[in-house]
Amino acid sequence: MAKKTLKKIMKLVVNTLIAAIFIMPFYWMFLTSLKTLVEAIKVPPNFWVTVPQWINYATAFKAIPFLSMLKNSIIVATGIMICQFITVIPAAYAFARFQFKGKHLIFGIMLATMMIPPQLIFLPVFLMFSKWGLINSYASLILPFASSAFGIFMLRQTFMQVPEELLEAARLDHASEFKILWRIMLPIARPTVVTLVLFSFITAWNDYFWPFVLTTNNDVRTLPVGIASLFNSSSGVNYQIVMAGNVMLVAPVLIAFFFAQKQIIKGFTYMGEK
Amino acid sequence: MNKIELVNIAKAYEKGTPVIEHLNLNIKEGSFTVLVGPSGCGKSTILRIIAGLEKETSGDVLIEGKNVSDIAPGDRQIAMVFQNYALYPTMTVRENIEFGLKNIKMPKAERQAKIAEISKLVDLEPYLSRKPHQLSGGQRQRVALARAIVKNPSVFLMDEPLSNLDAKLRSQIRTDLIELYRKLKTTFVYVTHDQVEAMSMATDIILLDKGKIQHRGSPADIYENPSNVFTARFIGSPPMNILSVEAIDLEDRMDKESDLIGKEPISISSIGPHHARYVGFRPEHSRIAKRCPEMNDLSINELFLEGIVQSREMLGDHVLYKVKTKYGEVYVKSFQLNMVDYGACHVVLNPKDLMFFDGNQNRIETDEERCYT
Amino acid sequence: MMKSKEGAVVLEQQTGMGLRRVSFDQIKCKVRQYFKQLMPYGMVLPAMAILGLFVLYPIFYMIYLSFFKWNLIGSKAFVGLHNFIRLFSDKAFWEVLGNSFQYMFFTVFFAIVLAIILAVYLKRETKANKLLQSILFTPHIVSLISITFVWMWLMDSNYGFLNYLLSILGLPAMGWLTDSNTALYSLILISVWKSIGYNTLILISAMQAVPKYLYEAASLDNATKWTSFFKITLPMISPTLFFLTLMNMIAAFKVFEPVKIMTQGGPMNATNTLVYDIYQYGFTFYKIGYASALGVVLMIIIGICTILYFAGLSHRVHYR
Repeated sequence: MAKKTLKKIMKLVVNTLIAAIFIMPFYWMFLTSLKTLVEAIKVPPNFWVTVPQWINYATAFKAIPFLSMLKNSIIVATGIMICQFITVIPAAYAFARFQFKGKHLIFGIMLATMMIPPQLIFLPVFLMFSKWGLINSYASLILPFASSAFGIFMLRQTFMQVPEELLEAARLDHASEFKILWRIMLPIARPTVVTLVLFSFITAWNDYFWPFVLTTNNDVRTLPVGIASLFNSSSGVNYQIVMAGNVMLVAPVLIAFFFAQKQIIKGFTYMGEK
Repeated sequence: MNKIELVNIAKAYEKGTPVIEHLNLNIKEGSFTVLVGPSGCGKSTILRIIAGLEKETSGDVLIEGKNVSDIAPGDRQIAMVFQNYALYPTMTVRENIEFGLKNIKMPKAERQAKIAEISKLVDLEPYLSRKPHQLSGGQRQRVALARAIVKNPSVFLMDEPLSNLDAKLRSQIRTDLIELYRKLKTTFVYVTHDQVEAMSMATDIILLDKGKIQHRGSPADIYENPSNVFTARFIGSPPMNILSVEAIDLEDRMDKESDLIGKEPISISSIGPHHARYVGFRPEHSRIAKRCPEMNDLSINELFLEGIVQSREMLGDHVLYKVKTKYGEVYVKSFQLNMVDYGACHVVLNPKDLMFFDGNQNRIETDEERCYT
Repeated sequence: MMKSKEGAVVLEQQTGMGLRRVSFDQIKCKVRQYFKQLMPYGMVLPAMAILGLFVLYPIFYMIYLSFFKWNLIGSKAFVGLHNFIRLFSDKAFWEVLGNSFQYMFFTVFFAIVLAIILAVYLKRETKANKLLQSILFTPHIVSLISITFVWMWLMDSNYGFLNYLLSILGLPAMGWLTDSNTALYSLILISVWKSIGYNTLILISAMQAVPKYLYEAASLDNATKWTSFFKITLPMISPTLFFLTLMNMIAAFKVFEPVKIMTQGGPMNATNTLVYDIYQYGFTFYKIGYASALGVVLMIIIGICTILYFAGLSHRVHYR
């Protein structure tokens, strides 16, 4: 009995410790965003605030062109999503359902592109866009991600699991290829599509690297770049402002994660579980 | 009149041996034709070629005398029921049934009327707004049927539609299908590997093996007059016992005593035609007897075969014995319900129930030679 | 034929007309066939065009540029392998490479070993474990830039929370990011913190996929928990481990944000890694050729990792 209780307590302690390690930084971010500068740099620090300084959010909001950057973020993320919709679905369907010469080669090339991170090729892509005069354009932020090898792979798996008979039944029912894709395949693949949409939207929303290296002014820069510039623009340690900005960047993702946890986890861990 | 004709059909896939070579086959208008055979015999391929889901490598498919080789599956006036039902999982039962009608742009009122009629016919009225995953196996089966019937096709194609159901439901839907066939009075083409399904429902059975027709005829014909060893062994449960005549001859000569005897020892080859290589009899056309006491019960023409009872299964209306004889194992279906003990026994046969087959395993029709006098 | 030219023309027209009427269906059929054959290519074309133009082509363009000297303003001058020769003779490059590999090695090692421990600890499906899994996973979906700032704040040498924790424990304050001895390890810590949840979740699902009867059989064979972990669990999840290693390696090699924001490669070049170096040479010093040569080195490293992965996968790893 005693041993069992001890084990339970041990488990509780370990669980709390693990949770603390992963929650604490987020809590600290939120807490700091509500402190005054003096409170923020107080040693020893307070673990709560008596008077929340919501003004920090307003300060962060004003320090950067927040709304226009938010607009840019939404345009870029939505643009990427729509483009992926157009390119990924037909490609996944073709790879899953048709036999054609060179299919395996093309598919192999596509898989290989998954191994190439943007951090490896940003320089040549930057040079390409500058040659086309498209630096500081939405195109330079959207087009490179207008297709997704990962998305094609995932959707193809889903399409392949649909039994062949279903398509044959549809053909006997006078359905055209387009109708089969639109009325039968896509509804079946809906959970996968939702997962993909969430994945690509969150990835685009979070991305700092690409908009940072592909833009030179604030015209099309997205929120993460703006939040980062809070740090540069603030003289001295104004962490409460930076944290306020970060809360605004992180909150939508955390809210989405809270409501669509299953799909988001599935989207982000899909490759590993194959 | 022939509803469907396959003329010189061949089918080969890119790799491997051809599935079908030079097949000629016709299906009569208004018949319930069952294509039956072991897996890999090409029966499903034939069905799919008729449906247009697979393209024949060569040859012609004629439906009502018209070559349909270049006509899309949807335009062939056929409906198909698939083994796994192939219901559209994201659509309700109603939408499943409606899908084909919508695609041919049937007016809404007409669609509604048809669906109402069909759902009554197959007892689906309470389930119209459910999704397939909310239905039982039997209900899904009925949706698949409804989806086929509603298109008012001139031919129904069915690809093992009962194989995903449990045994009880299977026999129930079998009778349902027979009723449906009588009601609709259209042509049914049905594929199965189960001879029971073939025997119970068909008006015409086409038995296939390795892409070739082994036998075609009515259920009674295929049971009574199997045209070869394959057919004899395929139909009936358990199937016909087939023994090699040569083996029996050989034993005879060595033992100087026959095990298959009447009043006096006789060789089996002496009662069959001279070129017979195999002899067969149905388990239900044989009796089992303990050696001594019942010897006298033998009627004049009867033969018997010595053996040892290996297993016995009491199946209610009959007992099934597996008997090991010198020439191989045979099954005996006895309607005598008091069981014979394990151990030595005799299998009793009437010579008129024996069927003979030649070296190519083809049946030898021998009316006059069949009787032993 | 020669005799009446006119007649021939008329005949041709007639047959032409006749032919057209007869073969209209055939033509339609032919067109449909061609269409059917070309359709799959049409369907993969948009996707492949994007991937080709923005992933594959840039690779070749980068290789091409690595043979040139170019400062963006003047014209490119072909210099052959000069960029690579300079690269390999530069002490700073070897330092950067060393940093990158050190960063990669420790990140991958700790992120995976700790994830295995956590996965074993959390793999039973209870409510508490599920909640913890979600908590663990959160850093993975949050913007790296936010995580960078939060940790920068936590690691602040004067007002940071971590130094406060150390002081509670009676330990001396650390420089974290400002000390060249600890800066790289601080970055590694953040990276491990961010990726551990992802690794844990994937390992848990791999462990749950191991058939239960294997453990039952092992326990009938009197195997201890340790033996069944090393003899059953570990071999069965080895494909996943292998995959995670590759993914973590590539993720480690592409690290940029923390370096850019927190340390700018310093102090004393202690945290300068390959991607940051490429960025520096390309965007600050405008040495496009040299930066491209660095890119080629990174590409080769990632390429070798990937090839090793697939080579290993094909024979070493146990399959389900």
